[in-house]
Amino acid sequence: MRMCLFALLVIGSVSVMAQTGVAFVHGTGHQTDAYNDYWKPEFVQTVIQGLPNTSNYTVINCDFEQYMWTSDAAGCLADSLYQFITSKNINDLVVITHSNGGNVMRWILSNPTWDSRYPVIIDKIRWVNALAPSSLGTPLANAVTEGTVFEQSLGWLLGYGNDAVKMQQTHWMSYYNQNWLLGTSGRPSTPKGFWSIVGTDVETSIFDPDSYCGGYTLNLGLEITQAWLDNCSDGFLDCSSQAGAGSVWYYDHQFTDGDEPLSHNQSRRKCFGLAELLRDDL
Amino acid sequence: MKLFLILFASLSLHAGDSVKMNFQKGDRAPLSLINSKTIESTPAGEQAQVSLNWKLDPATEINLKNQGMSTLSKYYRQTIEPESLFSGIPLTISAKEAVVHLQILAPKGESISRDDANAIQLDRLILVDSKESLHEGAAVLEALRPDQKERAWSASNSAFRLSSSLGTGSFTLHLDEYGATFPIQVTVFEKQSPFELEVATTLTNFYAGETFQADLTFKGNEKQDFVHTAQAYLVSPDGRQRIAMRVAGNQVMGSLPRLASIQPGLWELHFDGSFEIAGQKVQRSARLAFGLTVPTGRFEPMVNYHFNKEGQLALDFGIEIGVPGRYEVKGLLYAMNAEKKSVPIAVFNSAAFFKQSGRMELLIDKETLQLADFQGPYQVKGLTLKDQSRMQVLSHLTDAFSVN
Repeated sequence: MRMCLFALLVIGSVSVMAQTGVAFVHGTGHQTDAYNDYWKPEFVQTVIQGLPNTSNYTVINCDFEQYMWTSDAAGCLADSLYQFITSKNINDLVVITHSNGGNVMRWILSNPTWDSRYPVIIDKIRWVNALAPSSLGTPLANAVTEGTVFEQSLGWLLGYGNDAVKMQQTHWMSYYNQNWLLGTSGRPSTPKGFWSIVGTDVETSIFDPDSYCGGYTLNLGLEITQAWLDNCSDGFLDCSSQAGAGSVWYYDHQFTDGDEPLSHNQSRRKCFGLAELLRDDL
Repeated sequence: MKLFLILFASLSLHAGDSVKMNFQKGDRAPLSLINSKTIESTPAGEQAQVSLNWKLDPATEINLKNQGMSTLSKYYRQTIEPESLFSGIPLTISAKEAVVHLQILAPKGESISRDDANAIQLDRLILVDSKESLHEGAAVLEALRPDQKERAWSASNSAFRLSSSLGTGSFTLHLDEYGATFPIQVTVFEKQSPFELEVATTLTNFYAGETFQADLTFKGNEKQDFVHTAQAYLVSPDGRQRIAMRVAGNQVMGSLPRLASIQPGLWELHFDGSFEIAGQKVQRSARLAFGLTVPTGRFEPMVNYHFNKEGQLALDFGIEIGVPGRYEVKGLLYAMNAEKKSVPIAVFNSAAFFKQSGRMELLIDKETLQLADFQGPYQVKGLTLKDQSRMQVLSHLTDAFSVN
């Protein structure tokens, strides 16, 4: 389906040389060096090998501890994407988001009149590949909002008591999905495709080397959080949340090496063929 | 045939016309507007008019009606003062393998010392059932907290899962030693419980000063649920304002405040109560988010429209405002397919900054109208007016008007 869409796009723009670019949009947190801290160089460097020009990429650094619509969140993302598009003449942009980054991107797609740069960005986007997007929120954000539980295990994901955590509570996301965001069930679709990759489980066996991909202690924390989540979850998000907006591109076991599941930590790392899948998509 | 239809569509539409919006049950529109003297100044933002329309897959199933808000709960939460620990923490368990989470609460601005944070030792917990039998040890209270060096979560938190052998009913949890002076928040998650509380409102956005109302029901349970005790209150987005609600029967209600300032974020209903269902006691807590709207603007009832020389459909909305700001018109365009069925064909959006009441015109081009595949009458549905400056949904019309 995605390839058919892409083929149509290519045929429709034969007269224009495609200048393909890719943008990496991090999840909750205030990033200043997401390339090294959030994604890791080996992940980014593998993905960009799929570009005709490997310099046509950008790693976003914004403050996603704020509400998605704020100038520090969506405003910063729009700034960065707009500059990237105009400075590199990108006319075929693939956006890769992780976790709450999918919500901030979906904000731009859903509210194109908010800012005059939004329609320009939307026009250049081929599609969004949303890795484990928190589209319907997470019960863990509900728990965090009322206390300090998980502050260490999920600090790397959520920060501490910030607006982005409040926003990702399940009942808050339900409101925003009904009123301000598009792409969920019963709502109009976004102007460009929003394709999610869904992580379905967390494996943390000390004897299983796969548990170490992405960092063992981070994965261990996620296994414990599964007590609060559905049977199908990546340790931070229920599968239903990850699949809650746009279309599911893949469930992890449908493409990973050895049918391995991707924990929420691993869905932004070079684990089990994920980076190669994204590379080949470019 | 297609060419004929295009010509027909072009010729039959005249230079300009107007139509009255159709308000029906469930639609929302402010009866009166607040003025700029009673509300804080407008935040800065985009000043230009920005518009974007896109085609929709006509097979898209869209829920046009105001859905209201709802939340489901299979958990409850209570706060225990240290002195009441001597008599034990009462636990009502309605399902096997419940997860109990204990968290030491520090007062605002105070931090918990390392000693205090470790005041709850899972191996010192004893569970007493209604027959006064004692249960302790990892076999019945399975710890969900690994060694501290594994960085699972902060030290002031402990959690355990009850063994399925314990069954359901009333228990008391005893901690034979608690060295801290802070209260403990106890949350019980009952994932396997058949008793799922639904708290629902018929609206997603309430106007300031309106009556708030929510219904309490247990999903899939047809028997009368008896409310033992309950408390409910509304909390402002910044958490500083709390408004007590009444709980009568299976309904929560009360008056919403009249606001002079608007905080970003959502208001919440906090509900905590115990119920009797088919002779079994069940405790539940729930949090429900909703929007609280200060009526800063509204649609004028008449809409002008025409097809211009370029074949675009021009929709011209009158916007009455009480407070300067950026306002957005958003809606869906429906048209008739070959089987004469009304289907969604496009999303349209336009926003502009208004210093005073005025008009907003938006254009839907030929490509979006898909004249070769669809024809009129065009219907505008799911029409909303939003105040982008203050993140508010002002009006919602399910089936706003038709253009013929």
